[in-house]
Amino acid sequence: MIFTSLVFLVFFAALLVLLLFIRNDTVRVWLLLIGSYIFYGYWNAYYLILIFCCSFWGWGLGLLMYRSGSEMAQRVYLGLSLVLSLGSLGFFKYANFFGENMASLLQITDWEPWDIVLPVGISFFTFQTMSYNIDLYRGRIEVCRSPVKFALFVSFFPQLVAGPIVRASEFLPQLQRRIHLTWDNFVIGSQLFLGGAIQKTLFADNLSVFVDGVYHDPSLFSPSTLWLAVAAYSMQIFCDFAGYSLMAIGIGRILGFALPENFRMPYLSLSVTEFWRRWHISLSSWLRDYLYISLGGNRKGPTRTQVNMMITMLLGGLWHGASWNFILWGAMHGAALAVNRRWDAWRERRGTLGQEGPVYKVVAWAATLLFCSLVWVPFRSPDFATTKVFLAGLLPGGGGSVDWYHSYTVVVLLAAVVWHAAYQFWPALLRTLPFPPAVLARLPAMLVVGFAVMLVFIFAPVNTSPFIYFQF
Amino acid sequence: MRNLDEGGSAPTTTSAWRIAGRALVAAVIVLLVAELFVRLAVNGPSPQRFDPVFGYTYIANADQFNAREGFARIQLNELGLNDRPVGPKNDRWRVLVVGDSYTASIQVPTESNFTSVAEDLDSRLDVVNAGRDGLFLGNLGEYARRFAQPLDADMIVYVISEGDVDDDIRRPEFRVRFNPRDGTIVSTEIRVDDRELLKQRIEVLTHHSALVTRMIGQLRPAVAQATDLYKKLTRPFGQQPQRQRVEPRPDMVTPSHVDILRYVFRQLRQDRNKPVAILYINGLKYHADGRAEVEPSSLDAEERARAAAQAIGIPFYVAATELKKVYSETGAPPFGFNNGIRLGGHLNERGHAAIGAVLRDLAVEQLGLEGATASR
Repeated sequence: MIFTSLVFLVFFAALLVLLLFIRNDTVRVWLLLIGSYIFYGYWNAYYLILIFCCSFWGWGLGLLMYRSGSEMAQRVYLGLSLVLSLGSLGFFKYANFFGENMASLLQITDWEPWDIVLPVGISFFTFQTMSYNIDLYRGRIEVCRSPVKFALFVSFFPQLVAGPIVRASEFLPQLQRRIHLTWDNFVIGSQLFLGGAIQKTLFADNLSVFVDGVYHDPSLFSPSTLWLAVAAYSMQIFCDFAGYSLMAIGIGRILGFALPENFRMPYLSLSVTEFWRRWHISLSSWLRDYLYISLGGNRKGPTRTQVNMMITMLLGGLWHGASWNFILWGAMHGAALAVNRRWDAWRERRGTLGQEGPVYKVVAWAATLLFCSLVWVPFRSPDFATTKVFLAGLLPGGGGSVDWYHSYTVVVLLAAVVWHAAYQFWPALLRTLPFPPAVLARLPAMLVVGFAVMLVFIFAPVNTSPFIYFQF
Repeated sequence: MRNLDEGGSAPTTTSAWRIAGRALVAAVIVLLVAELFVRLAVNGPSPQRFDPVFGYTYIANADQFNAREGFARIQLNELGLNDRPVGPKNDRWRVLVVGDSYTASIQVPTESNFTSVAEDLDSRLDVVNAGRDGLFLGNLGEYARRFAQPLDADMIVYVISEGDVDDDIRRPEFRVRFNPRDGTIVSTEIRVDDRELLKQRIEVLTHHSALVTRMIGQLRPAVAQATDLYKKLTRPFGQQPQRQRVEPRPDMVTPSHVDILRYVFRQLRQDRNKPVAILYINGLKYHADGRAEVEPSSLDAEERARAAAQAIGIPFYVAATELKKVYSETGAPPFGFNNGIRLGGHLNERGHAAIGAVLRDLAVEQLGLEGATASR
């Protein structure tokens, strides 16, 4: 179910009505779990078995780990949990990729890919399960004794298929309290949902018309059109994913749950390091806490730090999908982070770190934005050949003859510039959103919300594209 | 904080009426501003009127505005056609051009569409554009009949493309009755789409409101989803959806695609003494080196249409060479607009100029006038 579809709205309305009628907390948890399974099963009922198994081993091994007295046994249970989670992720997501590359390496010509359907959201729910077991092993969280609550943590439908990745320490304590459905949460959650829908349908979906058209055959388009496509895809992927996250946060809020912030205007970053503090925050912090730090982080000298960074980003790239393009994207970000770290260290030695003037900030912002936008090219391209053609076409004198200045794209990009400028220079303006119920009862707020709804109805493309991050 | 669990589903203060009043005022303001905005930048009120045969036709003298693909404000003529007013023939040869959205050409100004271009190229011709978007291939003959006689047309040109040849006759609304022993087609029938019947009920609104017209288009997928969902929910458990078509028996001889096309094309002839022709508009595939070639699927459809047309003796023209030339000479495609799909979609002004020249040549050739150079 896509959040912006009628089916989802009917499903959510029915669930909300049921939750309103049933006051018992245990039953409400069950209802949310059943609702989450219906949400997932609507896509593919067979893969409910996978999500059930993932929940079962995460919960069961966690309980065994908690009850076991010896360090050794705890390690075994943790290892088993990681093997099962990473094994299922590896099988469903990477088996064909590795098979194909091995066949190519060993020159096996008759290799046929396996018929594996990638379970939607597998990268998200396996990461959540792993984080629970690792945190439990590290003694950072309490064990969850209730299999129902744990299953709800793994399958909570607002963030099940595309995040944000929720930590057990953030979610499970919320299940210990009463599930309160409040008018304030409803009003604010609905506005967050509307904000996400605007990002998704008005911005991302309209941009996708242009981006898909250009990426279909970039060799035909002029350099200026390709540059427009670079900008358009950067904004499309941000609005698509940030929009989904915001809708998920809004739905969670309506149901009385706080989900973590996933994006904080990443294109305003002054460095790649800052970009990763603002982009897909739940994934970057997950990779930092469970991979980078586990590899030694920055504790083993500058060279090892950079190697760790590179490994983390390569795996981060691979997390997005089984393709060399994603690995290239991760490697470029890893290299940029390493350079950024060296640069900061050099400036620290000179005593200029933290003393940046406006010119430095503008140049740093522009360089970061340009880098992040350009590395989306391999991320979006279906293969290396397209990446090469696209990047070559950006050069003066490169590219084809067709100019395409898609008017919706230009308008959406201008709107995005205004939005970012408002965030940067008039933060108070955006801080008034979402309106609390008392403010929403006034005419100006009603008009803002009314126009926002109307814009979605008027400009959302008739055929909504699926969310980009569903495939990851 | 009000708690929904405690029964408060809305603010419960005495100011509820005041809030409701404000909400009403806000809704009215939003709707009025949205109506104005849509009229200025998106589309005008619907110029469509329900028609029991064709689903809909255009209202005479209505305004047609579209900014979804191209940006043109068009004034339909007294016959509800996207053309200049149709006056007396004045010794000119009147060519009636019938087709779907390629012909209706609402993306470009009337003066730039290919019927106007053909007319401007040759003062001996009076070319009448009788295009209507979404006009079904099987309805072309009937639609032409509506205008040919009153306008005393000397020739009819049917403009078709891959979509007509490939998709139209597979539409669920289209039924072919045939003799199962030898596959001979007895009759064909096209049912008016249910959506048009639905739209008929709210015509009063769509004729006056651009916003309602826009919403009808925008909410179409949601309505389709709702209908599917309703059917799913109301179907008894385990029962399969009703089949639309009867599966052929093993001993049944079914007519081929070309047979159906041939049957449909046969309906295109209006009057034995007056020439008819088919003009096929190809889809193109572009190359970075400046070449363009016909899309293989378009070529395939063209071959089937040509075979059917030739079998019943209707002259068949293509515009591939002229369309390819547009791209090779200008580096810009003859299809697409900045606010729509660039390499596909409908003909832009360059494409119309190219097709206009082909149309002029084929009309001159078929009417036996001097100076014919059309390519078949």
